[in-house]
Amino acid sequence: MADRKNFSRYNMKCGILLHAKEGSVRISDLKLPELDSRYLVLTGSDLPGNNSINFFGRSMPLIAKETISYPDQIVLALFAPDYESAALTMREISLTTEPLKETPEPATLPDSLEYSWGEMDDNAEGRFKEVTTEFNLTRIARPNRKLYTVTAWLEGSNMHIEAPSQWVELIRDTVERATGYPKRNIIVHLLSYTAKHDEFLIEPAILAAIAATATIRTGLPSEIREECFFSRPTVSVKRRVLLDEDMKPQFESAEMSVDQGAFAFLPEEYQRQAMTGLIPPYPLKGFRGSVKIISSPSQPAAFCGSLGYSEALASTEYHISRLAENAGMTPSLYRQMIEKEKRKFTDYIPGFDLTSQKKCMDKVALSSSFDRKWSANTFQKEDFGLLGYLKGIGIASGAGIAGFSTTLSKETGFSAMMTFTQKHNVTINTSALTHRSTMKIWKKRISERIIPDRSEGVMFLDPSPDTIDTGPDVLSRIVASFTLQLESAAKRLSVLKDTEKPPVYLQFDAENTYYPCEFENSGSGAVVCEVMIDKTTMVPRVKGIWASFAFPTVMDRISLENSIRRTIMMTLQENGMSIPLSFRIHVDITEEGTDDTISSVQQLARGLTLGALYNALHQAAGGKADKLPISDAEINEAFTGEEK
Amino acid sequence: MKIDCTIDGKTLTLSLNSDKPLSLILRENMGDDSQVNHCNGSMCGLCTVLVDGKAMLACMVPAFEIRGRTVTTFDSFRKTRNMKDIEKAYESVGRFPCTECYASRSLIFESLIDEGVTDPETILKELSIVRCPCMDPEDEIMIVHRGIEIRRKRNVRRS
Repeated sequence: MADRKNFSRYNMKCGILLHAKEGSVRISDLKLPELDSRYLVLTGSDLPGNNSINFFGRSMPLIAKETISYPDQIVLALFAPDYESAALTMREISLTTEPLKETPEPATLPDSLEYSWGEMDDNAEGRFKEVTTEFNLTRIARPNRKLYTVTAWLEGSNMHIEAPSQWVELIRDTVERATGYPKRNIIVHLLSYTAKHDEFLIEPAILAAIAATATIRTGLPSEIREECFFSRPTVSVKRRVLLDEDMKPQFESAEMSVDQGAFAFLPEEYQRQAMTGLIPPYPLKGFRGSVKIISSPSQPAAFCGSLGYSEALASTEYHISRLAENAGMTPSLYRQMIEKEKRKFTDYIPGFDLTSQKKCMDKVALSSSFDRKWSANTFQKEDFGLLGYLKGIGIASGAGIAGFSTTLSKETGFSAMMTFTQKHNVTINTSALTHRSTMKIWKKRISERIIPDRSEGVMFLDPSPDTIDTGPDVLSRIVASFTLQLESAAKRLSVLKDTEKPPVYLQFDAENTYYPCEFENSGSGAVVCEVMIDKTTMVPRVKGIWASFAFPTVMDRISLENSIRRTIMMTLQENGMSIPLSFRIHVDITEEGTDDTISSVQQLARGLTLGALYNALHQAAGGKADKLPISDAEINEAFTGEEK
Repeated sequence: MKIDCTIDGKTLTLSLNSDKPLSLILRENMGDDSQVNHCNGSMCGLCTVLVDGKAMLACMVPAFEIRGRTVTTFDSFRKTRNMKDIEKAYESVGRFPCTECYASRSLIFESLIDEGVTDPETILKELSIVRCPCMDPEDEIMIVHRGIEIRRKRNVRRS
C-alpha cells in the first residue's frame, strides 16, 4: 500500500463547509462573491456523479441542492489556498432560505415492528391492577468539538483518500458514486481515531466524496477540516401492564417511538435491537411490543453506539422499578419475586439462565446498601414540602448482546478470509483492523489454535483494493460476533492445515448456526446509581456508581474496566449530570471461565447506567422531571412551574 | 509579525498574524495534525500544550504570547523521562485516559506533577479543562499523587 504522499501544504486546497442554520426550508438564493482561480466552490449540482450517500440501501444527499432537510446540512463547500482565506471568503457568501410551501415528503420508513406472544387481556372485568409508565429520552445533537481532516489526492490513476473511518468500504463506495472513479483505484489511508459513538461512520465518507471532487476539478490535493458530530435520537417508550393480586405482571404492552431525524440509516436494525431490549426478563402470559420509527427535520441520528438496545433496556429497567414502587417493595426484592431462573426464549434473545445477572444485582445492592437507601428515600420524601427529599437511588440489571442481528448478517454477508500460507504463517484479510490492542489479542488467540507460541506468524494484511469488506466498525462488532467467527475459523483451519497442502484458504462470515435468535446474549451486569439534586442550584449530582459485571471470558481486565468506567462517565455527562469531587465508580468484574467471547461492553454498560440514572432521578425528583438529558433549569421548572 | 520561539526543541522564527492561535500555528505551520485539536476556544481541552512547562489550551494562546517562550507538544513530550513517570503512575493506579484525551491529560498531569500540586481541588480545577469524561475525579487525584512520588524517587536516585 502506498504511503501518504508528502505534498506541501502550500500546494493544497483547504476546504471548509457552509452548513444550513435551519431545516425544512428551500434555498431561495445563494450569492457568491467573485472568486479567482485559486478558489473553488462546490454545490450539490457540481458533483459529477450521484449527489448521495448510500447506506444499507438508504440514501441521503451529500450536499443540499434545492431543499434543506435538517439544520447543519451541508449546503456548499469552499476550497481556498489556506483556511484563513477560506474562512474570510465564506463570510461573503450569503444564503437565503424560505419556508417550504408544501410539506416535504416524509422519509421512507419501515412499518412498525411488532412482536407478541399470548392473548392480551383487556382487563374488562377489572381483575388486574393496571400500571402505565412512560420513558423519555430527548435528542442529543451537538458537535463533539473534535476536529478531523479528510484529504484527497491523485497519484497516477489512483485516487488516495486519507480519513478516519469506521467503515472504509463506505468511503470507497461514496467516492465512486460521487466522482465516477472506479472503486479499485480508490485507496483509503486510515487515520487513527477515537469514536465515542458513530461520529466517523457517515460524515467522513461525505467529506471524502467532496474532497475527491475538488481534487479532480483542481488537480491539486484537497483537504476538508470539520468537527465531528453525533446525534442520539428522541426515544419514547409507553408501557401498560396488568398485575395480579400478588403484584406479579401478567400482560404487558410496550410501544417505542424513535425519531431518527430527517434521514433514517438502518432503521430495520434499530427496530430489531430495540425490540430485544423491550422484551422484559420476567415471565408474562401475554406481551405485545412495537417499535416505530418516525422522522423529523433534524440531524439524522444513526447508531450512537447502541442502535437502540441500550435505550430499550434502560426503559425496561425503569419500568420494573416503577412496578416495584407500586408493589411497595424495593426493586431488587421485587425482581427476585417476579423473575424465574431462566428467561423466556423469544425470536430476539435466547432463554438464558438469569443466575449470573441476579448475582451481579445482589453484589451491587449489597455494596451500595441499595435496599436501605431506596426505602429511606421513599419514606422520607413524603415528609418534605415543595422541594421533596431530592435524593434518589436507582438500580438496573441486564444482559449484553453481541454485534448485529442474524437477519442483517444474512442480508449483508460481510466476511473475512484466513489463510495458512506455504511458510506456515497465518494471514487474515479483513477490513476490521482499526484497533491495535484488539489485533494483538486476536493474534495471540489465533496463534494458540494454529501455530502455538508463534503469534508473530499471524499477520493482518494491509488495506488494499483486494481487502474484504467486514462491515462497519460500530457496536463493538469486532470484539463480539467477529471474534467468535475468527475463533471458529481458526479451529477449522487448524484441522484443514493437517489434511490439505498449503496454502489453505478459509472464507468465513456470520453463520446462522451461531445465532438461533436475532441476538446472542453474552455477559450480564447490574448498576446502582445514587443521585442528589442540589437544593440551591437544582443541579443534579451523581454521588456514586456501583457496577458489577460477569463475562464468560475476560481478555484484558484493565482495558475492560477502563472501558466500563469510560462508558459510565460518558453516559452520565451526556445526560446533564454534574460530577462532584467525592464521586467514585466501584466496578466489580467476574470471569465465568466459559468459552464464549464477551459481548458489546459499551452497549450493556450504557444501557444499565441510563436505566439506573433514570430510576435515581425519578426518585430524587419525585417523578416530576422524568426525562434525560436534564438541566438544572428544567428541574427547577418542574418543581416551581416557573417559566425559564 | 515575526515571532521567535522554541517549539518542540526547535528554535524558530515564524512570520504570521499576531493573533493566530497557537493551535492553528501547530496545525498549519508546524504540520502537527495528530495531537492538537482546534475548537475555536470552545474549551474542549484537547489542544493542551506546555508553554514554559505550564499546561495551556493552545487555542486560547495568541501568537504574540509565545514570543521568546518554549512550547512543548505531546509529540515531543512523549519521548521524555517525565512521560515515563506519568505512564508509571497510570499503571500503578490502574487507570488510563482514553486515546482521545491521552495527550492533553498527560500534559496537564505533567504540569501538576512538576509543580508538586497535591491539593485535590486545585488538581481537579486544572484537569477540568479537559471535557472528556473518561476518568473519575478520584483516579485523577491518585495519579497526580502517585506521579509526584515517582518523580521524587527518581530525582533522589539521580542526586
